[in-house]
Amino acid sequence: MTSREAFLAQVRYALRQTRGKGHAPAAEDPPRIPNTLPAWQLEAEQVRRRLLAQREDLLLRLERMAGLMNWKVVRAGTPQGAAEAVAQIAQQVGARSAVRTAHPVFARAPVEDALRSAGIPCILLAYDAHDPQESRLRLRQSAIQAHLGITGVDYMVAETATAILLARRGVSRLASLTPPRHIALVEPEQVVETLADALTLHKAQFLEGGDPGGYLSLISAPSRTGDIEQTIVVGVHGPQEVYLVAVW
Amino acid sequence: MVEVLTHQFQKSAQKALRDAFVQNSLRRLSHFHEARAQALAEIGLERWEALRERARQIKAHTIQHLDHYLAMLAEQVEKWGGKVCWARTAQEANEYVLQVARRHGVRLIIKSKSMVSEEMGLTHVLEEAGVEAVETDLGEYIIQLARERPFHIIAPAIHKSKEQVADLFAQRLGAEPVTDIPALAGIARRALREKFVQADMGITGVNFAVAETGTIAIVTNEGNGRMCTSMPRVHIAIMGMEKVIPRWEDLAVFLALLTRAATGQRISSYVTFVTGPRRSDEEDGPEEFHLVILDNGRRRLLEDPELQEALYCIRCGACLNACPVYGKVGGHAYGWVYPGPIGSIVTPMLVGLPKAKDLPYASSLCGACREVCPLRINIPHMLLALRQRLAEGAPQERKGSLLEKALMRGWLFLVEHPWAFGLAGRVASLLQRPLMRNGRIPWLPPPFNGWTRSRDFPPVASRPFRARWKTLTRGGTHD
Repeated sequence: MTSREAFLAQVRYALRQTRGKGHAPAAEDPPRIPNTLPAWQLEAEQVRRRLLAQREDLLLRLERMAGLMNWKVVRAGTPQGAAEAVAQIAQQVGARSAVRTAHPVFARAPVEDALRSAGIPCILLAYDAHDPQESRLRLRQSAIQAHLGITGVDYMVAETATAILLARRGVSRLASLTPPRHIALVEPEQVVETLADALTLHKAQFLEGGDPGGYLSLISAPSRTGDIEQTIVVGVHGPQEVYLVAVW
Repeated sequence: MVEVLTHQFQKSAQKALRDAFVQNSLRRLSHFHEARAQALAEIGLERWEALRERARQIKAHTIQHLDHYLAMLAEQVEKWGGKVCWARTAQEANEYVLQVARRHGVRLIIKSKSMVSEEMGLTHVLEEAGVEAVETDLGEYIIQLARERPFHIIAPAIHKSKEQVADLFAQRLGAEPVTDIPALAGIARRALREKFVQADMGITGVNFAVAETGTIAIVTNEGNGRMCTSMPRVHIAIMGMEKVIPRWEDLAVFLALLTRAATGQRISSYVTFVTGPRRSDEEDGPEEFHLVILDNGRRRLLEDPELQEALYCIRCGACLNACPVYGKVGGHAYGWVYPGPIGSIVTPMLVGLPKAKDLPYASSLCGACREVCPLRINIPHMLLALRQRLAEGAPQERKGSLLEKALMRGWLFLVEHPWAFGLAGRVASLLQRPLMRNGRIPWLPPPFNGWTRSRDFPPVASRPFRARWKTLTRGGTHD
C-alpha cells in the first residue's frame, strides 16, 4: 500500500505538468455560501420561510409526484387516521408481521395499537441496552422476516418524492429495506421542495464539527431493475411496494 | 487487472454486427435516450444547462486541486472512524481488500456494482484467494454467472435474452427453466437474499465522495447497494480518485444530473450517503468502514492538459446511448471495462495507447457524445488529440500505413496549390468514368477496395464547384 504522502505527491506532480499550459480549463472556485455556521443557519432559515409560504402547494406537488414515482399515496388527515391507514394497508396485503422504527411520529400516530387491533404484531427495532449484541441479532432476524416495515421520515422532497431517513438509535437501516412492503409516515413539516433544500437544512445542523450522520437513505420509489431485456421489474432486493401515508 | 482485449476491436465489432439479438438490444437502448429528453423537458432546459455549468465548474476546480480535496476527504473519513487505503495500482487495491478480508476471516462477500472493481478484476482476485464474492446487481450477477464482462456502464447485461438468462439460472443455480422476466428476477432475489444474510463483508463503488464530510454517495435502483452497506460486518467502498467533490451541497447538483442523463429517471430508487462505520448506538450497519482511493493510471489523464477533462466523467453512460458507433458495435468491442466514446479516451490512457489504437477511431466525430454529456466533456476534441498522437507520436504508438501517410501528404499538396487541385479534379473525373455505375462508384481497385466493401464511393462531380461558383457570382443561373 502506498502512503498518503507518496500518493498525494504523485497527484501534485501530475498537476504541475498541466499548469500554465493553455488547454487546461480555468478553474476558479465556484461562487458559494461561506462555509460558516451562521451563514448556513441563515440559509436554512430562508429555506424554511420559503417552504412555509408554499406549504399547501408543496403538499399537492408531493402527492402528485409520489404517484408518478410509484408510491401508493394515502391521505390520512390526522395521526390517528394514519395509524388506521397503516392497519388497513397491512390487512389488505395480508401482512402477518410488521417492524417499525422509533421515529417521533409514532408518539402521535399509535400504529402499534391499530395493528394489534387487526391482530398483527409489530416489533420496534430498537436494541436492548442491557444486552446489545444478542438483541441486535434478534431484531435483525425480525426485520428480515417481517412482511411490513413502517417508518417515519426526516425529510420528504416534493420534487422527486424522495423520503430521507437518517439511521440512528431507534432507526434501523433495515426497516425500510428488507420487508417486501414499506410504509412511510410523512408530516407536513418534513416536506421540502428540492433535495438541495434538504441538504441545506441538514448542513445547518452538522456544520462546524457536528455529525453529518453515519447513514442517510434516500428512497424515491420501489426497488426496481431493468437489467433483463430492459423490462422493468419491481421488488428485486428492496420493497416491491412503497406507501406514503400523508399525515395531513 | 482485467484482461485487455482492446486490440481486437475490429474482430469483436464484426461479431456484434452479425448478432441479431445484440443489434436488437442496441436499438432498444434508444429508449434511454428518449427518457433522457423527457426528463430534461420536465425540469426545464434552462435549469438543466445551469446545472451542467455548475457541475463543470465544480469538477474543473476540484480536479485542479485534487491533492487538497483528497487529503480533506481522507481526514474526514478517518475522523468518523473509517480507514483509508491509498492505492496507486489495481494490484495494491486488490491486496488491501484481500488483507482486510483475511483479517476478518471473511468467506462470503456481497458486491454492488462498481466499474472500478471491474477495472481491478477484483472478484477474480478474491475467487483465486478462495473468497466467494457475489455480484448483487441483477445485471452484474448475470454477467458473473456467464463469466463475461459488462456490455454497458449502467445496463451490463442488455445483450442477453431472457432465454439465455433462463438457461444460465438453470445451469448455475439449478432453477426451474422459466422465461418470464419477473420470475427470473424472483429467482435472483431469492438466491441473493441468502447471500445478503450470510455475507461477512460488503463491497461497493462510490458515485460521489464529499471531501468536507467524508461522505460517499451510492446510487442504485435495486437496493443491493443498501444491502451491502447494512447487512455485513465490514464495508469496503472503492473509488477512482476523480470521484471526490468538495462540498455537501454539491451532491444536489450531481445527483440531479446523473440519473436524468443516464436513464431519464428523476432520481434512482435509492441513494445512500455513508459517512464512516455505524455509530456505536446505531441499530445496525457495519462495524468497520474502509475507503479505497485508486489511481491506476488516472494520473496520466491528470497530467495531460488535453485529456484532463475526461476525469470529469460521472459514468452516466449517456454518451454510449447517443453514440452511433456504440449503437452498432456494442460494449464488448471496446475490449475493456469502459466502452463507448468516453471509454475510447479513458481506456487508452489507462491500459496504454499502443494497445488501444483502434478506439480513438471508433467514432464518426458527430459530437452527439459531447452534446448529451452532463459535464459537457469535449470528447470529440480529445479523440482527435489521440488520433494526432497516433499519427505523429512515438513509433510504438503510431497507427496507419505508409500509403495512408503518402496519400495525406498528396492531399496536403493539392489543397495548398489551386492549379494542382483543379488538375487533379479533371484527372479524377476521367479516371472514374470506367468505374461509374448509375452515378455512383460501387467498386474501387485495391488498395482502395476497403472503402467500397461496405459502401459506395462518391464520385467527383462532372462540373467542379469552382466552375459553378464562377457562373453563380456572375449572376447567371447554374446548370
